[in-house]
Amino acid sequence: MDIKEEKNEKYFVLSIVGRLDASTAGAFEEKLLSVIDSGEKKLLINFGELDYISSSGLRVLLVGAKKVKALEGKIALCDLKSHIMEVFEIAGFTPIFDIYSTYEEAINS
Amino acid sequence: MNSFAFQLKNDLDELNKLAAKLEEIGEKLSLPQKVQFDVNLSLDELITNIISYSFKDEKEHLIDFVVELEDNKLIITVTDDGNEFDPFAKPDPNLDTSVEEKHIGGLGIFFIKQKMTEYSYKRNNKKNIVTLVKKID
Repeated sequence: MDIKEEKNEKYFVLSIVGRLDASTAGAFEEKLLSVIDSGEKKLLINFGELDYISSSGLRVLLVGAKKVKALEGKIALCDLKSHIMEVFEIAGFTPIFDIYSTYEEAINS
Repeated sequence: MNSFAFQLKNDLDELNKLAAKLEEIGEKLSLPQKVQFDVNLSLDELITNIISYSFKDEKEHLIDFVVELEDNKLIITVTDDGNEFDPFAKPDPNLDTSVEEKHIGGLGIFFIKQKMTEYSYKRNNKKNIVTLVKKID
């Protein structure tokens, strides 16, 4: 797994590349929490290059969502592949995040 | 030859090897991508649980996998020599809660129950044996 980051006028964007499972979730958690701790509270996680997610990846997103909610911020997600979206649906996680079908839609919303 | 066997160590870094093995098997059996993802997710969640709850001695253990295709059913057997641990015994998580109240515990096993057609656990000869069945449409 790799993480790319960028900042635009609307969001601090983290793009996750590869696979988010129990072996890589720790590195993602460290990155996500350090970004939130640095004062960013409007985050967009770009799933466009993410091929796989397990409950370990969802756990990190939940930790992040709880943390930014307390700061009155939010986490948006974009470009989820259909099999990844299904995992969010089964977990009952879709109401927690603003989910956009594309990066452009997230930026322009 | 529609039966495949492999072993993984009780180490989370083996999840990559699991994915590679399943991809190889999926190609040989021409499994649809969706089935391959569901099986990968289910076995990932299962062994993450086994590694966390079944082995308490911090020694290296091997987990055995057998994947068989019978007609339109994929039958997967996972055997480990850890402490008695029935992954399906815990209640399902409550999904209708707010962000603040949401917990992640039990979600991985819930995914297995949702993704697989059948699942079962038995303890035999000091081994944990989980059998998963995925029907392929």
